[in-house]
Amino acid sequence: MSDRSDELLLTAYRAGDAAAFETLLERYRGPLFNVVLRSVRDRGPAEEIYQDVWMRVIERCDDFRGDAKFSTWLYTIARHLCVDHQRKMRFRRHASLDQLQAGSGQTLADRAPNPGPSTEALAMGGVLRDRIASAVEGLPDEQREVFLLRHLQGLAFNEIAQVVGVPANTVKSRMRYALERLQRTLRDWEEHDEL
Amino acid sequence: MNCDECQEQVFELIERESVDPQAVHEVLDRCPECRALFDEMKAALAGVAGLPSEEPPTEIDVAILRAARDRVAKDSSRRRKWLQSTQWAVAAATILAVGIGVWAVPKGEEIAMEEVAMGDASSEEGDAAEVEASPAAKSIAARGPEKRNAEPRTVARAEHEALAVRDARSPAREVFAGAASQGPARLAADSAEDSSAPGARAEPQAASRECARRLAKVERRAREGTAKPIAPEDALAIGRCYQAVGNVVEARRWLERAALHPKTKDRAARALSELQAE
Repeated sequence: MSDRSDELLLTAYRAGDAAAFETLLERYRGPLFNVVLRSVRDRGPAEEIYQDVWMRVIERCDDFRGDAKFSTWLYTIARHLCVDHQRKMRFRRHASLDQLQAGSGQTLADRAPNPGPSTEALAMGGVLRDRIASAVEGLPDEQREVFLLRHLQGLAFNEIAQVVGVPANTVKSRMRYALERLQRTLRDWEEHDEL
Repeated sequence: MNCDECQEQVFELIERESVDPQAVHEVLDRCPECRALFDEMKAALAGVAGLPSEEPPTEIDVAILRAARDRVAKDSSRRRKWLQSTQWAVAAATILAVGIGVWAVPKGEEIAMEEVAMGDASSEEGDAAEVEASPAAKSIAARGPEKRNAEPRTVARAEHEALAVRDARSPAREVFAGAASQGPARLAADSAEDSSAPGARAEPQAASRECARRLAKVERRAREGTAKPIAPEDALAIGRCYQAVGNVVEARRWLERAALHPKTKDRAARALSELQAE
Protein backbone atom coordinates (compact mmCIF):
# COMPACT_ATOMS: atom_id res chain seq x y z
CA MET A 1 0.00 0.00 0.00
CA SER A 2 1.16 3.51 -0.72
CA ASP A 3 2.88 5.53 2.03
CA ARG A 4 1.31 8.72 0.79
CA SER A 5 -1.04 10.56 3.14
CA ASP A 6 -4.78 10.41 2.56
CA GLU A 7 -4.78 14.02 1.43
CA LEU A 8 -2.04 13.41 -1.15
CA LEU A 9 -3.89 10.39 -2.43
CA LEU A 10 -7.05 12.43 -2.87
CA THR A 11 -5.09 15.14 -4.69
CA ALA A 12 -3.59 12.49 -6.95
CA TYR A 13 -7.04 11.10 -7.65
CA ARG A 14 -8.33 14.54 -8.55
CA ALA A 15 -5.44 14.83 -10.98
CA GLY A 16 -6.56 11.62 -12.68
CA ASP A 17 -4.81 8.86 -10.72
CA ALA A 18 -7.52 6.21 -10.25
CA ALA A 19 -5.09 3.95 -8.37
CA ALA A 20 -4.82 6.59 -5.63
CA PHE A 21 -8.53 6.29 -5.01
CA GLU A 22 -8.20 2.53 -4.83
CA THR A 23 -5.63 2.93 -2.05
CA LEU A 24 -7.97 5.24 -0.13
CA LEU A 25 -10.79 2.77 -0.46
CA GLU A 26 -8.54 -0.01 0.75
CA ARG A 27 -7.57 2.02 3.82
CA TYR A 28 -11.06 3.01 4.86
CA ARG A 29 -13.45 0.36 3.59
CA GLY A 30 -13.42 -1.72 6.80
CA PRO A 31 -13.51 1.04 9.43
CA LEU A 32 -16.05 3.11 7.50
CA PHE A 33 -18.38 0.22 6.87
CA ASN A 34 -18.27 -0.79 10.55
CA VAL A 35 -18.92 2.74 11.76
CA VAL A 36 -21.91 2.98 9.41
CA LEU A 37 -23.15 -0.49 10.29
CA ARG A 38 -22.98 0.13 14.03
CA SER A 39 -24.63 3.49 13.58
CA VAL A 40 -27.64 2.38 11.57
CA ARG A 41 -27.75 -1.12 13.13
CA ASP A 42 -28.99 -2.66 9.92
CA ARG A 43 -26.85 -4.23 7.22
CA GLY A 44 -29.00 -3.35 4.20
CA PRO A 45 -29.16 0.42 4.80
CA ALA A 46 -25.54 0.30 6.02
CA GLU A 47 -24.41 -1.02 2.64
CA GLU A 48 -26.40 1.65 0.83
CA ILE A 49 -25.00 4.39 3.02
CA TYR A 50 -21.47 3.01 2.69
CA GLN A 51 -21.78 3.16 -1.10
CA ASP A 52 -23.35 6.63 -0.99
CA VAL A 53 -20.48 7.94 1.14
CA TRP A 54 -17.91 6.86 -1.43
CA MET A 55 -20.01 8.17 -4.30
CA ARG A 56 -20.09 11.55 -2.62
CA VAL A 57 -16.34 11.43 -2.14
CA ILE A 58 -16.00 10.79 -5.87
CA GLU A 59 -18.44 13.53 -6.83
CA ARG A 60 -17.27 16.15 -4.39
CA CYS A 61 -13.56 15.49 -4.12
CA ASP A 62 -12.95 18.87 -5.81
CA ASP A 63 -14.68 20.53 -2.85
CA PHE A 64 -12.22 19.06 -0.36
CA ARG A 65 -10.26 22.10 0.81
CA GLY A 66 -7.43 20.29 2.56
CA ASP A 67 -7.68 22.34 5.77
CA ALA A 68 -9.10 19.24 7.53
CA LYS A 69 -7.97 15.64 7.40
CA PHE A 70 -9.46 13.37 4.79
CA SER A 71 -10.70 11.01 7.52
CA THR A 72 -12.59 13.86 9.21
CA TRP A 73 -14.22 14.79 5.91
CA LEU A 74 -15.07 11.18 5.13
CA TYR A 75 -16.69 10.55 8.50
CA THR A 76 -18.53 13.86 8.37
CA ILE A 77 -20.17 12.72 5.12
CA ALA A 78 -20.89 9.33 6.66
CA ARG A 79 -22.37 10.88 9.78
CA HIS A 80 -24.69 13.15 7.78
CA LEU A 81 -26.01 10.21 5.80
CA CYS A 82 -26.46 8.13 8.96
CA VAL A 83 -28.30 10.96 10.70
CA ASP A 84 -30.57 11.36 7.65
CA HIS A 85 -31.27 7.66 7.71
CA GLN A 86 -32.02 7.70 11.44
CA ARG A 87 -34.41 10.60 10.95
CA LYS A 88 -36.25 8.67 8.29
CA MET A 89 -36.38 5.64 10.53
CA ARG A 90 -37.97 7.65 13.34
CA PHE A 91 -41.06 7.99 11.19
CA ARG A 92 -41.46 4.27 11.42
CA ARG A 93 -43.04 3.63 14.77
CA HIS A 94 -41.68 0.14 15.26
CA ALA A 95 -38.88 -1.79 13.70
CA SER A 96 -39.90 -4.99 11.99
CA LEU A 97 -39.45 -8.02 14.16
CA ASP A 98 -38.23 -9.91 11.09
CA GLN A 99 -35.50 -7.39 10.33
CA LEU A 100 -31.99 -8.86 10.45
CA GLN A 101 -29.73 -7.22 13.04
CA ALA A 102 -26.24 -6.01 12.20
CA GLY A 103 -23.47 -8.43 12.94
CA SER A 104 -25.50 -11.17 14.56
CA GLY A 105 -27.68 -12.15 11.62
CA GLN A 106 -30.54 -12.55 14.10
CA THR A 107 -33.94 -10.91 13.89
CA LEU A 108 -35.34 -8.71 16.63
CA ALA A 109 -37.89 -11.43 17.35
CA ASP A 110 -35.07 -13.89 17.95
CA ARG A 111 -33.59 -11.63 20.54
CA ALA A 112 -36.70 -10.40 22.25
CA PRO A 113 -37.39 -13.21 24.73
CA ASN A 114 -33.93 -13.01 26.26
CA PRO A 115 -31.96 -9.89 27.32
CA GLY A 116 -28.71 -11.62 26.40
CA PRO A 117 -27.31 -14.80 24.92
CA SER A 118 -27.49 -17.95 27.03
CA THR A 119 -24.53 -19.50 28.86
CA GLU A 120 -24.41 -22.20 26.24
CA ALA A 121 -24.32 -19.60 23.55
CA LEU A 122 -21.54 -17.79 25.32
CA ALA A 123 -19.49 -20.91 25.16
CA MET A 124 -19.70 -20.76 21.41
CA GLY A 125 -17.06 -18.71 19.58
CA GLY A 126 -17.97 -15.16 18.68
CA VAL A 127 -20.92 -14.82 21.03
CA LEU A 128 -19.12 -12.47 23.39
CA ARG A 129 -18.36 -10.26 20.45
CA ASP A 130 -22.01 -10.30 19.48
CA ARG A 131 -22.88 -9.24 22.97
CA ILE A 132 -20.45 -6.34 22.80
CA ALA A 133 -21.90 -5.41 19.44
CA SER A 134 -25.38 -5.41 20.92
CA ALA A 135 -24.22 -3.29 23.82
CA VAL A 136 -22.71 -0.76 21.46
CA GLU A 137 -25.86 -0.69 19.37
CA GLY A 138 -27.83 -0.05 22.53
CA LEU A 139 -25.96 3.17 23.21
CA PRO A 140 -27.75 6.47 22.60
CA ASP A 141 -26.96 7.89 19.13
CA GLU A 142 -24.78 10.73 20.40
CA GLN A 143 -22.65 8.43 22.56
CA ARG A 144 -22.50 5.68 19.99
CA GLU A 145 -21.17 7.84 17.17
CA VAL A 146 -18.44 9.22 19.41
CA PHE A 147 -17.56 5.78 20.67
CA LEU A 148 -17.40 4.30 17.15
CA LEU A 149 -15.28 7.08 15.76
CA ARG A 150 -12.89 6.74 18.64
CA HIS A 151 -12.66 2.98 18.79
CA LEU A 152 -13.21 1.86 15.25
CA GLN A 153 -11.47 4.66 13.46
CA GLY A 154 -9.15 5.89 16.21
CA LEU A 155 -9.90 9.56 15.60
CA ALA A 156 -8.58 12.07 18.13
CA PHE A 157 -11.16 13.85 20.28
CA ASN A 158 -10.70 17.13 18.44
CA GLU A 159 -11.26 15.36 15.11
CA ILE A 160 -14.41 13.73 16.43
CA ALA A 161 -15.46 17.18 17.61
CA GLN A 162 -15.13 18.45 14.03
CA VAL A 163 -17.11 15.54 12.60
CA VAL A 164 -19.89 15.78 15.14
CA GLY A 165 -19.86 19.56 15.42
CA VAL A 166 -19.54 19.88 19.20
CA PRO A 167 -16.65 20.99 21.48
CA ALA A 168 -13.93 18.47 22.28
CA ASN A 169 -14.92 18.46 25.98
CA THR A 170 -18.46 17.41 25.05
CA VAL A 171 -16.97 14.60 22.98
CA LYS A 172 -14.95 13.46 26.01
CA SER A 173 -18.04 13.52 28.23
CA ARG A 174 -20.06 11.53 25.72
CA MET A 175 -17.25 9.04 25.43
CA ARG A 176 -17.07 8.62 29.19
CA TYR A 177 -20.84 8.10 29.47
CA ALA A 178 -20.70 5.60 26.63
CA LEU A 179 -18.00 3.61 28.36
CA GLU A 180 -19.83 3.66 31.67
CA ARG A 181 -22.98 2.45 29.97
CA LEU A 182 -21.20 -0.31 28.11
CA GLN A 183 -19.56 -1.34 31.34
CA ARG A 184 -22.96 -1.55 33.05
CA THR A 185 -24.56 -3.51 30.21
CA LEU A 186 -21.75 -6.06 30.07
CA ARG A 187 -21.82 -6.41 33.87
CA ASP A 188 -25.59 -6.98 33.78
CA TRP A 189 -25.16 -9.77 31.24
CA GLU A 190 -22.45 -11.33 33.36
CA GLU A 191 -24.76 -11.27 36.37
CA HIS A 192 -27.58 -12.77 34.27
CA ASP A 193 -25.27 -15.57 33.17
CA GLU A 194 -24.32 -16.30 36.75
CA LEU A 195 -27.98 -16.74 37.74
CA MET B 1 -5.81 15.73 43.77
CA ASN B 2 -8.71 14.12 45.63
CA CYS B 3 -10.64 10.94 44.71
CA ASP B 4 -13.46 12.75 42.89
CA GLU B 5 -11.01 14.63 40.70
CA CYS B 6 -9.09 11.44 40.08
CA GLN B 7 -12.24 9.54 39.05
CA GLU B 8 -13.05 12.37 36.67
CA GLN B 9 -9.59 11.99 35.19
CA VAL B 10 -9.53 8.19 34.96
CA PHE B 11 -11.13 8.14 31.57
CA GLU B 12 -8.77 10.82 30.25
CA LEU B 13 -5.83 8.84 31.59
CA ILE B 14 -6.90 5.70 29.75
CA GLU B 15 -7.49 7.69 26.61
CA ARG B 16 -4.08 9.35 27.03
CA GLU B 17 -5.71 12.76 27.19
CA SER B 18 -5.13 13.44 30.87
CA VAL B 19 -4.00 16.95 31.80
CA ASP B 20 -2.01 15.73 34.82
CA PRO B 21 -1.35 11.99 34.49
CA GLN B 22 1.25 11.99 37.27
CA ALA B 23 -1.26 13.25 39.86
CA VAL B 24 -3.89 10.67 38.75
CA HIS B 25 -1.35 7.86 39.07
CA GLU B 26 -0.47 9.00 42.59
CA VAL B 27 -4.15 8.79 43.65
CA LEU B 28 -4.60 5.40 41.93
CA ASP B 29 -1.58 4.08 43.85
CA ARG B 30 -3.00 5.02 47.24
CA CYS B 31 -6.83 4.63 46.74
CA PRO B 32 -8.19 1.08 46.08
CA GLU B 33 -11.60 2.44 45.05
CA CYS B 34 -10.15 4.69 42.35
CA ARG B 35 -7.90 1.84 41.24
CA ALA B 36 -10.94 -0.46 40.91
CA LEU B 37 -12.76 2.11 38.78
CA PHE B 38 -9.69 2.51 36.59
CA ASP B 39 -9.39 -1.26 36.12
CA GLU B 40 -13.10 -1.63 35.31
CA MET B 41 -12.99 1.05 32.71
CA LYS B 42 -9.86 -0.35 31.17
CA ALA B 43 -11.48 -3.76 31.01
CA ALA B 44 -14.56 -2.30 29.38
CA LEU B 45 -12.44 -0.67 26.74
CA ALA B 46 -10.50 -3.87 26.19
CA GLY B 47 -13.81 -5.65 25.89
CA VAL B 48 -15.23 -3.33 23.29
CA ALA B 49 -12.00 -3.64 21.36
CA GLY B 50 -13.31 -7.10 20.56
CA LEU B 51 -16.21 -5.60 18.69
CA PRO B 52 -16.65 -7.82 15.63
CA SER B 53 -15.45 -6.27 12.40
CA GLU B 54 -17.59 -6.74 9.34
CA GLU B 55 -16.60 -6.46 5.70
CA PRO B 56 -18.54 -4.53 3.09
CA PRO B 57 -19.71 -6.58 0.09
CA THR B 58 -17.10 -6.86 -2.64
CA GLU B 59 -19.60 -5.99 -5.38
CA ILE B 60 -20.18 -2.62 -3.73
CA ASP B 61 -16.45 -1.94 -3.69
CA VAL B 62 -16.29 -2.94 -7.36
CA ALA B 63 -19.12 -0.53 -8.17
CA ILE B 64 -17.39 2.25 -6.23
CA LEU B 65 -14.10 1.69 -8.06
CA ARG B 66 -15.92 1.68 -11.39
CA ALA B 67 -17.52 5.02 -10.54
CA ALA B 68 -14.12 6.40 -9.51
CA ARG B 69 -12.57 5.35 -12.81
CA ASP B 70 -15.52 6.72 -14.77
CA ARG B 71 -14.99 10.09 -13.17
CA VAL B 72 -11.30 10.07 -14.10
CA ALA B 73 -12.21 9.12 -17.67
CA LYS B 74 -14.85 11.88 -17.85
CA ASP B 75 -12.45 14.42 -16.45
CA SER B 76 -9.72 13.54 -18.92
CA SER B 77 -12.14 13.70 -21.86
CA ARG B 78 -13.42 17.05 -20.55
CA ARG B 79 -9.84 18.27 -20.31
CA ARG B 80 -9.17 17.05 -23.84
CA LYS B 81 -12.28 18.78 -25.09
CA TRP B 82 -11.29 21.94 -23.30
CA LEU B 83 -7.83 21.78 -24.81
CA GLN B 84 -9.31 21.22 -28.23
CA SER B 85 -11.69 24.11 -27.81
CA THR B 86 -8.77 26.25 -26.61
CA GLN B 87 -6.83 25.32 -29.71
CA TRP B 88 -9.76 26.31 -31.87
CA ALA B 89 -10.18 29.53 -29.95
CA VAL B 90 -6.49 30.36 -30.35
CA ALA B 91 -6.65 29.56 -34.06
CA ALA B 92 -9.77 31.71 -34.50
CA ALA B 93 -8.23 34.57 -32.54
CA THR B 94 -5.04 34.36 -34.63
CA ILE B 95 -6.99 34.44 -37.88
CA LEU B 96 -9.03 37.38 -36.60
CA ALA B 97 -5.91 39.23 -35.49
CA VAL B 98 -4.23 38.63 -38.84
CA GLY B 99 -7.40 39.74 -40.64
CA ILE B 100 -7.61 42.94 -38.61
CA GLY B 101 -3.91 43.52 -39.17
CA VAL B 102 -4.24 43.06 -42.93
CA TRP B 103 -7.17 45.46 -42.98
CA ALA B 104 -5.76 47.99 -40.53
CA VAL B 105 -2.17 48.38 -41.76
CA PRO B 106 -2.98 49.61 -45.28
CA LYS B 107 -5.74 51.70 -43.75
CA GLY B 108 -3.19 53.32 -41.45
CA GLU B 109 -0.86 53.91 -44.36
CA GLU B 110 -3.69 55.42 -46.36
CA ILE B 111 -4.51 57.75 -43.50
CA ALA B 112 -0.87 58.75 -43.19
CA MET B 113 -0.67 59.35 -46.93
CA GLU B 114 -3.83 61.35 -46.89
CA GLU B 115 -2.42 63.49 -44.12
CA VAL B 116 0.70 64.05 -46.15
CA ALA B 117 -1.17 64.67 -49.37
CA MET B 118 -3.69 67.01 -47.78
CA GLY B 119 -1.04 69.55 -46.94
CA ASP B 120 -1.75 72.35 -44.50
CA ALA B 121 -3.91 74.61 -46.60
CA SER B 122 -4.65 73.25 -50.03
CA SER B 123 -6.91 70.54 -51.35
CA GLU B 124 -5.68 67.11 -52.35
CA GLU B 125 -6.45 67.81 -55.97
CA GLY B 126 -4.23 70.85 -56.12
CA ASP B 127 -1.38 69.11 -54.43
CA ALA B 128 -1.58 66.23 -56.81
CA ALA B 129 -1.38 68.63 -59.73
CA GLU B 130 1.53 70.35 -58.11
CA VAL B 131 3.39 67.14 -57.56
CA GLU B 132 2.68 65.96 -61.06
CA ALA B 133 3.97 69.17 -62.48
CA SER B 134 7.13 69.29 -60.50
CA PRO B 135 10.35 68.11 -62.19
CA ALA B 136 11.22 65.98 -59.18
CA ALA B 137 7.95 64.10 -59.53
CA LYS B 138 8.58 63.61 -63.20
CA SER B 139 12.03 62.22 -62.56
CA ILE B 140 10.70 59.89 -59.95
CA ALA B 141 7.92 58.78 -62.22
CA ALA B 142 10.49 58.14 -64.94
CA ARG B 143 12.60 56.13 -62.50
CA GLY B 144 10.32 53.19 -62.84
CA PRO B 145 8.06 50.98 -60.81
CA GLU B 146 8.19 51.88 -57.18
CA LYS B 147 5.67 51.14 -54.54
CA ARG B 148 2.58 53.13 -55.40
CA ASN B 149 1.79 53.98 -51.81
CA ALA B 150 5.23 55.23 -51.01
CA GLU B 151 5.49 57.42 -54.13
CA PRO B 152 3.86 60.67 -52.96
CA ARG B 153 6.09 60.78 -49.92
CA THR B 154 9.18 60.26 -52.00
CA VAL B 155 8.06 62.92 -54.44
CA ALA B 156 7.43 65.40 -51.67
CA ARG B 157 10.78 64.64 -50.09
CA ALA B 158 12.56 65.12 -53.45
CA GLU B 159 10.72 68.39 -53.93
CA HIS B 160 11.90 69.67 -50.57
CA GLU B 161 15.43 68.55 -51.14
CA ALA B 162 15.47 70.44 -54.40
CA LEU B 163 14.11 73.50 -52.64
CA ALA B 164 16.67 73.20 -49.86
CA VAL B 165 19.52 73.16 -52.36
CA ARG B 166 18.13 76.15 -54.20
CA ASP B 167 17.49 78.06 -50.99
CA ALA B 168 21.03 77.41 -49.89
CA ARG B 169 22.21 79.00 -53.13
CA SER B 170 19.96 82.05 -52.91
CA PRO B 171 19.66 83.77 -49.56
CA ALA B 172 15.95 84.37 -49.83
CA ARG B 173 15.54 85.72 -46.36
CA GLU B 174 17.90 88.57 -47.10
CA VAL B 175 16.20 89.28 -50.40
CA PHE B 176 12.81 89.56 -48.76
CA ALA B 177 14.19 91.48 -45.84
CA GLY B 178 15.38 93.92 -48.47
CA ALA B 179 12.01 93.83 -50.14
CA ALA B 180 10.40 94.67 -46.87
CA SER B 181 12.62 97.69 -46.49
CA GLN B 182 11.93 98.77 -50.09
CA GLY B 183 8.21 98.48 -49.44
CA PRO B 184 6.90 97.51 -52.91
CA ALA B 185 3.35 98.62 -53.39
CA ARG B 186 2.60 95.70 -55.67
CA LEU B 187 2.86 93.24 -52.86
CA ALA B 188 0.31 95.18 -50.93
CA ALA B 189 -1.94 95.26 -53.96
CA ASP B 190 -1.62 91.50 -54.42
CA SER B 191 -2.47 90.90 -50.84
CA ALA B 192 -5.55 93.06 -51.24
CA GLU B 193 -6.57 91.15 -54.35
CA ASP B 194 -5.95 87.76 -52.71
CA SER B 195 -8.03 88.39 -49.68
CA SER B 196 -10.60 90.70 -51.38
CA ALA B 197 -11.39 92.17 -47.99
CA PRO B 198 -11.59 95.94 -47.51
CA GLY B 199 -9.16 95.89 -44.60
CA ALA B 200 -6.71 93.84 -46.59
CA ARG B 201 -5.15 96.87 -48.19
CA ALA B 202 -2.40 96.62 -45.72
CA GLU B 203 0.87 98.37 -45.23
CA PRO B 204 3.63 97.40 -47.69
CA GLN B 205 5.83 96.40 -44.80
CA ALA B 206 3.22 93.99 -43.52
CA ALA B 207 2.97 92.46 -47.01
CA SER B 208 6.70 91.93 -47.25
CA ARG B 209 6.67 90.39 -43.76
CA GLU B 210 4.07 87.99 -45.08
CA CYS B 211 6.39 87.16 -48.00
CA ALA B 212 9.26 86.55 -45.61
CA ARG B 213 7.06 84.35 -43.41
CA ARG B 214 5.93 82.21 -46.32
CA LEU B 215 9.42 81.80 -47.64
CA ALA B 216 10.67 80.93 -44.15
CA LYS B 217 8.03 78.25 -44.03
CA VAL B 218 9.30 76.77 -47.28
CA GLU B 219 12.87 76.95 -45.99
CA ARG B 220 11.92 75.28 -42.74
CA ARG B 221 10.18 72.48 -44.57
CA ALA B 222 13.19 71.96 -46.76
CA ARG B 223 15.48 71.85 -43.72
CA GLU B 224 13.29 69.46 -41.77
CA GLY B 225 12.56 67.37 -44.80
CA THR B 226 8.85 67.55 -44.03
CA ALA B 227 6.98 65.53 -46.54
CA LYS B 228 4.29 68.14 -47.15
CA PRO B 229 4.08 69.73 -50.57
CA ILE B 230 4.03 73.49 -50.95
CA ALA B 231 0.54 74.92 -50.93
CA PRO B 232 -0.57 76.82 -54.06
CA GLU B 233 -1.33 79.91 -51.95
CA ASP B 234 2.27 79.83 -50.68
CA ALA B 235 3.57 79.40 -54.21
CA LEU B 236 1.52 82.38 -55.37
CA ALA B 237 2.68 84.52 -52.48
CA ILE B 238 6.31 83.60 -53.00
CA GLY B 239 6.00 84.38 -56.70
CA ARG B 240 4.58 87.79 -55.81
CA CYS B 241 7.41 88.35 -53.40
CA TYR B 242 10.04 87.62 -56.06
CA GLN B 243 8.09 89.82 -58.44
CA ALA B 244 8.14 92.60 -55.88
CA VAL B 245 11.92 92.47 -55.54
CA GLY B 246 12.39 92.21 -59.28
CA ASN B 247 13.61 88.61 -59.50
CA VAL B 248 11.66 87.83 -62.66
CA VAL B 249 12.98 84.31 -63.19
CA GLU B 250 12.06 83.08 -59.70
CA ALA B 251 8.83 85.02 -59.76
CA ARG B 252 7.78 83.36 -63.01
CA ARG B 253 8.75 79.97 -61.76
CA TRP B 254 6.61 80.26 -58.60
CA LEU B 255 3.69 81.91 -60.36
CA GLU B 256 3.61 79.25 -63.06
CA ARG B 257 3.51 76.73 -60.29
CA ALA B 258 0.60 78.49 -58.63
CA ALA B 259 -1.16 78.73 -62.00
CA LEU B 260 -1.38 74.95 -62.11
CA HIS B 261 -3.81 74.93 -59.23
CA PRO B 262 -7.44 75.83 -60.02
CA LYS B 263 -7.73 77.76 -56.81
CA THR B 264 -4.87 80.14 -57.63
CA LYS B 265 -4.91 79.77 -61.40
CA ASP B 266 -6.56 83.11 -62.26
CA ARG B 267 -4.57 85.21 -59.84
CA ALA B 268 -1.31 83.55 -60.90
CA ALA B 269 -2.18 84.15 -64.57
CA ARG B 270 -2.82 87.84 -63.86
CA ALA B 271 0.47 88.12 -62.01
CA LEU B 272 2.29 86.43 -64.89
CA SER B 273 0.76 88.81 -67.40
CA GLU B 274 1.83 91.73 -65.19
CA LEU B 275 5.30 90.19 -65.02
CA GLN B 276 5.50 90.01 -68.80
CA ALA B 277 4.31 93.56 -69.14
CA GLU B 278 7.08 94.65 -66.77
